[in-house]
Amino acid sequence: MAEECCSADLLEWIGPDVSACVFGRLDHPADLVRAAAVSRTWRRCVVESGLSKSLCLRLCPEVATVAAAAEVTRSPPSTASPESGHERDYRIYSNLAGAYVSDSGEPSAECILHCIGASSTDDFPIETMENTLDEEEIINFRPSYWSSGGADDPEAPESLTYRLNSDICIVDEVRVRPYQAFFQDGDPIYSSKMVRFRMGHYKLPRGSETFVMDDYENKMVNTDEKYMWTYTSPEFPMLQKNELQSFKLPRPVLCIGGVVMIELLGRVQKQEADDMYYIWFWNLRGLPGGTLMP
Amino acid sequence: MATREAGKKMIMLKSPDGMEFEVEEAVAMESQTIRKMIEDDCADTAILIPNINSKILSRVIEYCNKHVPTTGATGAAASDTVAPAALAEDLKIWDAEFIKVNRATRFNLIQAASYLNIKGLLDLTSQTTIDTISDNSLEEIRSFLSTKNDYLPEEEQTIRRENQWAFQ
Repeated sequence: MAEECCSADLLEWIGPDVSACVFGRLDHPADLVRAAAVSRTWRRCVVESGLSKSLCLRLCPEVATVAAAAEVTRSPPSTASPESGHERDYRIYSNLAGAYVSDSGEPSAECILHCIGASSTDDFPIETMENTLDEEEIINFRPSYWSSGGADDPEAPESLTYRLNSDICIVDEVRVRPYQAFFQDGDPIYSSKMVRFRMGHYKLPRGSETFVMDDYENKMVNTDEKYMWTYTSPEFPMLQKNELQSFKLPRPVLCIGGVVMIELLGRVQKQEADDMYYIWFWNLRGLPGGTLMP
Repeated sequence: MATREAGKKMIMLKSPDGMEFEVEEAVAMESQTIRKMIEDDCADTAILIPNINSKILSRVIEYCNKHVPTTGATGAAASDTVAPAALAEDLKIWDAEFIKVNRATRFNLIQAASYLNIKGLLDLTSQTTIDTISDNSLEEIRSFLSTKNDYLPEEEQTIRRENQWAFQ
């Protein structure tokens, strides 16, 4: 116990509860980790107050939906001494929040691992959504793009689902390029009216979300009840332009489960030949702020 | 409950070292803790504020006096003409001056603000500590806040290694 008033430590002076109240005002995960590194008493205060978790939830609310999963997927501790729930929470959430805010410098250019499914495909498999992962416009002397099925209703929605290359990714931007059909009269551009992004995980066992090569099953893969969405973005208007259009999410989003669905809301372009509305895409890329290995 | 001119309700606050402070009820109610006592009718004549000595209590009252929403009392005529932005600016300057105290007083004020539940005062008094943690190295934090490093050197190395991102 420090006798002289001015040499007392903050924690000794004001106690752990009030200290937690002060530490709770730290708004960067690194500050909390540094506070915990100051001394053992400080660490106990930070760990036991659960501040890392509250800060993490404040930064990315979608974490709340899978808090339990985050603990389960960790490899079991090999050491005999069982760690407390507080300790584990502190480690998980401080690292998660740290990764979330860290500026990884150059984001890995491509975080989409493979396709999962399209709500419809006009001419399967020639116009399969797998074409959207190709950079080239012409492959084997054929135009490479995905085309939705035709619809009379311009409001008919479509969706494309992709698997990201990590179960936990930070996505802050998605880029989409509508396809311009130079081989049709008037070079029509088959963009969609609006676009929205959902992120989450597949409800079936891991690894079963592979791309299905059968057209009908491919459609079935995209039904909503197969996924648990932990994030849904606002709707973004898409331009009817043949360019890679960037849709920047309001904040970097933690995609937990590694599945992204691109929802295409509304159609703008009719195909002259059959007078039906279509959406065609050339290229699609998700740009993560960083990927995290669990 | 004491009453004084202009029908303003007064409240008596007592510190454990025997000092008494007569303050307007509105000022005392800047503290959510005292507000609750008053609303629950537990504040007949005087409220004893435990653990907060007269020196600190008088500073807290000074803060509450300044921050109570102006409804007349001091400089009523002026406050009508002063723009809210200018008023806020004035408060900020006043706050900055108010918090120029030694560390012991600041820690005591943090504790008082927490016990009395005065959010503005807690924000103000915590900020220096927050800034110290945010802007400095571990060694500096320890030295500024007189915290003893009780980690073994190898433990600290491990912590730094495992959380490298936080120490860049």
